[in-house]
Amino acid sequence: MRNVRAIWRREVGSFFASPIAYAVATVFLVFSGLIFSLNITSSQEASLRGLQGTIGIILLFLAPVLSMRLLAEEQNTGTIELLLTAPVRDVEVVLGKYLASLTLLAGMLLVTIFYPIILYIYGKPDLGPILAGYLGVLLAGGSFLAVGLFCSSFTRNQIVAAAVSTGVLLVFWFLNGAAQNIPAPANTIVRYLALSEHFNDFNRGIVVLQDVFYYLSFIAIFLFLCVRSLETRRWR
Amino acid sequence: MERWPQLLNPLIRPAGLVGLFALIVAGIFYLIDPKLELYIRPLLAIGVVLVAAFLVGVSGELRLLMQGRGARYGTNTGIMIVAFVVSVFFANCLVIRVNQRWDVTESSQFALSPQTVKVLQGLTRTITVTAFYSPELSDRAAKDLLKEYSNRSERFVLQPGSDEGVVDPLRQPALTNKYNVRQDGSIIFEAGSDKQTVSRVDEQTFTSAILKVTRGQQKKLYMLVGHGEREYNDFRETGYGEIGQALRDDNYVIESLNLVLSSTVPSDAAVLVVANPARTLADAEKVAVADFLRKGGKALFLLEPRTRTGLEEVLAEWAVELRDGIVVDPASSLREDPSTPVVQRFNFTDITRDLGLAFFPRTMVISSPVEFGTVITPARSLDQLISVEPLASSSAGSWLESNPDQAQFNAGEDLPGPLPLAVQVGPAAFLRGAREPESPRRTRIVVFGDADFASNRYLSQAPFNNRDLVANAVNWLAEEEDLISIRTKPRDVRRMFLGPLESNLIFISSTVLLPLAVLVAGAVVWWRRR
Repeated sequence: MRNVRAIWRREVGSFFASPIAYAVATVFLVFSGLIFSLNITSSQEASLRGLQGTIGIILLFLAPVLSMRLLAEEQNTGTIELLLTAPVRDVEVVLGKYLASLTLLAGMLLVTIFYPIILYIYGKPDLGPILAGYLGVLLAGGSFLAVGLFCSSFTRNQIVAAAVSTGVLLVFWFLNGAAQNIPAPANTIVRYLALSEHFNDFNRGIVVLQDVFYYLSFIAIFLFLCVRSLETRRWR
Repeated sequence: MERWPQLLNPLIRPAGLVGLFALIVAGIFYLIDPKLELYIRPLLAIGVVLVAAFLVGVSGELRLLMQGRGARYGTNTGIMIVAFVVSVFFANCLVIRVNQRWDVTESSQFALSPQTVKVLQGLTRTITVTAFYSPELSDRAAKDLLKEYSNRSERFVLQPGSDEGVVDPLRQPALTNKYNVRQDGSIIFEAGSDKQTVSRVDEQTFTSAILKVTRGQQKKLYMLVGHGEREYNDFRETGYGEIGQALRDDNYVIESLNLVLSSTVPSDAAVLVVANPARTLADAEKVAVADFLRKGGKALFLLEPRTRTGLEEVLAEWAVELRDGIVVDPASSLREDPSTPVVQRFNFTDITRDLGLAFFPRTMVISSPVEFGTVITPARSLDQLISVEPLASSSAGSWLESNPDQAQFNAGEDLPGPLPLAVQVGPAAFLRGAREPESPRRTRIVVFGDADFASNRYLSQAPFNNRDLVANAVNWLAEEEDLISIRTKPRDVRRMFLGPLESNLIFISSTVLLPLAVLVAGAVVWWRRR
């Protein structure tokens, strides 16, 4: 655990020092601010309901940019060897880096507290769906980052990492649309695998256990794959 | 084999990559639309060829790899991954089965009442639901509620191919025709050959529709014939073809009833409909109708002014009084015709709950010798407690004109408004919804002073709701005593009022100021590090 924290701290420090994090956060806030203000001025409804769907897509494109650096850069500069030979387990490396990117995501979302505050100033929003919505975005965003981390682990090139993760995320996000052309019962399984399939209930105000579990499973699988990917470096 | 790749060696790896990429793209195209063969086939071919060439080209290296230590580790890793993924998959299946969900909205918007849950879990037939919404109409409430319903039961199925149950009527003309959809925002519940159409999105309406449609038997409406009444398969201007069709769409069966031939009203009659008899009923027929009502029968009367039907005594038994004449309402009527009152405000009853406007071309007054709302016991039906309530009234500036040649209010001759134009007779208000221990028979009667408003010509003129008025009346009359009553939860919409100043403020602060703050923070950090 100590190791995880050390890596986490180092990585978070790296993030805040790099321009990428601020660029991503700015872009994110511009887009979500735009959608938020357009939404509430046209619907006149004190809720974040139109917003969270769009935030999902925005994050889908931004998360790979955040996570592309995490392992690709180490491989590029050669520090990966140091990392892997240090008395640190691969799992700890992965967890530390992942939690760092998650911290950044949480930070960005924290800034968006501004929106519910506005809702409270001008109206009486329902708190439950707002909190549930944030939970959903955090889980989905966490899934995006897990994919990003994994893709960053097998290439030296950050751009390739970002591109491949974006591709993978797009496929998983839109999988439910493709499921229409697959005969039953396979299509229910394919639909279940889609990232977007589990996203929409949160901001309605319903926390569905299987949605939460799905995202946690998704994250677990990709972090697991990431650890295995690091492991293979030892004998590649 | 290991020699000729010397030339191609640098190309082998990228070739394999390109081949793999081609296969993936072919797969994606297939998922999007299996019929895109023009693209899929060549991509598939290229992919297969390149990947095969790659495998051949690296076959030597592969062989070495297979034998090495790396291969053992590789297979180990592969097995571990598969095992992990499979276990996670099974864990997910368990969680799905548990099916736990938490409604965190303040008003528990999405929690279904226990009655609905019971109905859903007890379903033995499969119900297919289709909601017809054009893009202009908001379908969110419908989708939300339908989703809650479909989550509780595998037999509650949303129309395959629809967007969470919603279908755009313009894009699916076949479905629109199949269900005879006339109105935007209609939701059809179908079980086998039984269908029920609703337009309100609330639990009461949905669950009632489910109950009706799974009942397996349809309710029968008998329309009296033999006196020149309006007919349900008559599609001329004065006919009742349209409303007949609407009621059949609502899962009713309609038959004609000739009380001269059959001396009583059949026992399977859910509702007796008397639609504007133009001649007087025979005594025997009046007796049959009166008996039917006394035994707890339900009837709808659509009568016209200045027409003798002989039903006055039958209705008088139930405290309904007909006041003949023509209601003139210059303050609230159809444009050029003061004797066609337009009713804008209805008396609040189950029948008129959500109605907007209706109009009645030439109507008389339906009133009561007792005050509206008083609980009385009909003389021949001592076990019933009923009350008479008005449904629709003309405005205060109206009057009942007894002399049609003079379109002028004459005090003494003419009756001043506001005047009731239709009434409902039913179980006294305090009994509604409660289960009576004895007396399962509860007579219900609805009387309209006009029959034209339901004819083909006037039934569906927007923006008037004549059709809903009739349909609601029939539904109220046919309502089973044991259909559940669910307290409707009002939709929880949190309104805000944002004027142009606030809107601009919000826009600027969210889209510009907030990101700017972050950018500035970044700049500060960067500056510090220099």
